[in-house]
Amino acid sequence: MTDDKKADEDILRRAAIDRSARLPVLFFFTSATVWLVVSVILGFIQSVKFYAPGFLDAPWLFFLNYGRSNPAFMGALVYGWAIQAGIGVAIWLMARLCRAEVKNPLTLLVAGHFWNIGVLIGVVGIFAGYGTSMEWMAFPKAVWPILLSAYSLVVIWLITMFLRREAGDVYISVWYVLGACFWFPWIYITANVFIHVLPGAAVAKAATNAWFLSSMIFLVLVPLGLASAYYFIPKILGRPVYSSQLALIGFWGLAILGGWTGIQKLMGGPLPVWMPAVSGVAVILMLVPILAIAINHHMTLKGNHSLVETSPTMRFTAVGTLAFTFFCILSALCAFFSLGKFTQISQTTTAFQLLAVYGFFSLTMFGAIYFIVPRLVGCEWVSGSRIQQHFWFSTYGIAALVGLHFIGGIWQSSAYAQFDAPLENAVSAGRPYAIGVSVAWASIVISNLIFLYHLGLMVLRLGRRDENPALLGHQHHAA
Amino acid sequence: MSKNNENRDYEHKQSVLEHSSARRERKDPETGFEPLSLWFFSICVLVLLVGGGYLGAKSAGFDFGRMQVSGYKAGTPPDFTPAGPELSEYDKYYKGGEAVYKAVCNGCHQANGSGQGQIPPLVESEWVEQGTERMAQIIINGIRGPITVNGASFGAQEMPAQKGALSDQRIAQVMTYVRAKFGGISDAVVTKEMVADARNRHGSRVAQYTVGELAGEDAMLPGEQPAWMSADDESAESDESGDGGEPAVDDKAPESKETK
Repeated sequence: MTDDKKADEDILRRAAIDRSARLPVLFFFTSATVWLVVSVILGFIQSVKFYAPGFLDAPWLFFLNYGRSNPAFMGALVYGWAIQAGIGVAIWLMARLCRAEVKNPLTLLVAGHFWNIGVLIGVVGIFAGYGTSMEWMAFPKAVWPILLSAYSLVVIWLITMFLRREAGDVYISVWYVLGACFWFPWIYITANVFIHVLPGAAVAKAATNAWFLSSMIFLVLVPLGLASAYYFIPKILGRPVYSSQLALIGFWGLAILGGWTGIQKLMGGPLPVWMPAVSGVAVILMLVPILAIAINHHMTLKGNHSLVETSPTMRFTAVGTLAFTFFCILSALCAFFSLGKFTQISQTTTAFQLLAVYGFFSLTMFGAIYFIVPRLVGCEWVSGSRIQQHFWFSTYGIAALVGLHFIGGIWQSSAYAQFDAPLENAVSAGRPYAIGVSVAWASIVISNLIFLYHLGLMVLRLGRRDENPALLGHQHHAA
Repeated sequence: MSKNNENRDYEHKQSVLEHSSARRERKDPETGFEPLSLWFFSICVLVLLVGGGYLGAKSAGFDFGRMQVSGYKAGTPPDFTPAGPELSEYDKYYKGGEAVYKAVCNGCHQANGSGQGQIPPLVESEWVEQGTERMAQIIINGIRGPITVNGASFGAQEMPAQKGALSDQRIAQVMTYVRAKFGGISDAVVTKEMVADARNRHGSRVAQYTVGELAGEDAMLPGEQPAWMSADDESAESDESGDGGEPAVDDKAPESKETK
């Protein structure tokens, strides 16, 4: 067999895999994006409600008050958008990297429907007043078994796929996808059992909640996001990942340390001091795997930064992984009490969560979606400038959001720390920043409306019938 | 038939090879084998050192009983002075009455004392501004109309007795509050002892009063003003122990009283 012939075989194989993955992956992407738009609109509303409770205050809009719109927006963002987009990317990566066509897409579709029903019940339940007030677990208590069973179906499918893989090395992305497969059920069951089923002391619930939130970031969102980054950066460059040793350190470091993080947020609280201390040291030691991952991506990319200019996937992924590094460094710094006391009970908490969920994870997922969808539907993204707008509105939006929340939160916390001053000072100290945050939210809403429109055209096969991909910057018509 | 199928398959293959996005893709990624650099290890060692120091300083020996890091001092700093407003005894007494008014009287007489409909006002009311004896009677046993307040007649509503719901202290405070807030009388308070005396004399009554049965407009409850009303010098010291209610019997914290 000649090389040409082999390359042709390869293309046909990939095209066949893409075709077989079309239905489930598109289902997850589309429903995730709809949830994303719902969530960012709620995000905008709750950000305004934060300083102007009279906004949208009609009697029939009672459910939009801050106490409900805030957890509803987070629930929709994490469970509606982030995890669904992650599952979609994981399915496609798994099929590609195991070089096996998707079988039993029905399993995935059933799981996807159940997941969406679960999230819908959760969000409506919060609006109806049945939320649980636990961060990232605000859905009514009845919802978690639905989400867990839906996720388990996906996990079973992914593992079956892994067992059917073509012989050869298991690529880094597959490690991370398999990690997320096992870690999500573990932390989700643990947290729900100790908070909803067998609740202990209130302090223990708070600690479990803090652990859960951090573990969701480090053991579910980060692995799925890194699986995508580890695939697309070398894929688009067409060169191997820099170092397998760094990849190993990065993976096992995350696997070992990820589940210890989170409780440093409660330092100074009524817990045995070693609990926040252990979480703090886990976040600090996390810098080692993060450094390994960052070096690995940077060295892979070295000398090819022009691709960040032109390729949408590359640009979103690069900025996403940069946000991830930034997130980890900030987390480590805030594990020290001198900074942490300003960041644990204020708007900065929101900055951290959004930096991880939007700045890192969502941008990485956008990158993956821009790569995957044309291959599934057989047409190209309609317009590079739409992608460009999505990128800039998103990036500026999230950067402003995180910056304002972070600095505003520090002002707010300093005012809290003045224990002999009226509490009102703390509210007014954060207020100008909260108003700025609404502007940033508006930018994110615009960006994702553009994205939904663009993705909708693709799903309806209204994309360009063209052989040239939609690129950013000057449209050069090179493959 | 099979020939036809093969052809179609061929066409499909051709179109995939020529047009699909899978065509322009680069090969699937592999892992490289570059060695780790020395400075990566150096940074790791540094991070581990910082982490170890952090754990040593903060873990407190993994003792479940330790809730505070070493060096933590509980309590407020010695030079701490609370910045909240300092209340005189009179203000505390007044605020206690305000709380009772909000809990009990507000619903009918309104926060501004204007009354509503058939419920008479407390503002500019001779029943508030004049004798305390009959005011106490009304509160203790309630009253039934008709009644004329500030020239206007009211009749359809009844005020229920409060003797079961309020202690002497609370009745005294709310009388002081109403007289000060709506009647502008802040140079004298009603004390617990005065109300206790009134309760002794009138408390056994079963029915509500009608206007004709009340004491005259000049009858005041007998009793002494508390010490903190008479001592009027400015050399006040703050008294943090007050609970906002008890009239102090010593002359510990006399302060100029403020009219509201």
